[in-house]
Amino acid sequence: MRVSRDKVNKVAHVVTDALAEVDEADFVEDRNTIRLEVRKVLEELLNQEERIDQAARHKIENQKRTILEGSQEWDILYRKYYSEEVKKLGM
Amino acid sequence: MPECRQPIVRRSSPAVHLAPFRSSSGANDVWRTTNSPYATLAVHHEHPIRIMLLSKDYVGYLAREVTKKLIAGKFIETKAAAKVTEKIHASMLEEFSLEDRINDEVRVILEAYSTEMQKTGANYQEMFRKVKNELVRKYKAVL
Repeated sequence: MRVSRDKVNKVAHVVTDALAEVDEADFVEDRNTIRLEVRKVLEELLNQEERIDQAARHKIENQKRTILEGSQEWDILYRKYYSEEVKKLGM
Repeated sequence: MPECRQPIVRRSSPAVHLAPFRSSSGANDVWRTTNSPYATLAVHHEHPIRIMLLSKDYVGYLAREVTKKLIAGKFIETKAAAKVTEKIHASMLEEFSLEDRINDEVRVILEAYSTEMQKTGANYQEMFRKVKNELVRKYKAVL
């Protein structure tokens, strides 16, 4: 996963803290259980995002000529292929 | 979408206070000194799609999915799912873009010392890394 484990933990903490600030949201489970669930969901979805990133990169690598990462052309293609992969998931 | 970028302002130098100013196009962030309307520094993002660890679109999807799963799994109860999603989205964007904000601050600091660095022949990349590490420690950031 491109996002580190520590970062996922931190985001889960931040999200749980943010949830606690929403008056319209009631915690059914305790705060730590919610944080762990948020972390679990994030890990699943970030693995999915990594597959999207890999698929986009793979498509660029499979072009007839070499396109250097960091070039404008690479960025444009990456954006295009990334969007295509995202659409496949119906997001 | 709510504006969630929080300023990381230099505190070590009382002479210059920088605050972020969002340009109307939203394409670039401009840091403007609060004591002079003429001193501006444009900070351009190198990769528009990945201004942070993840694309902004994907962070929106993450927020919606987290909300859905917390409600479906009966971890939380709410009649204002949209508000919950919005809050989660804002908090995620804030955290995922932290490294970008730190990078922006490093660039601003190094820009202020550019003449001195040229004189001493300091290596920009090395200085960038050192200042960044310093800021990461200062803000207790997790990158």
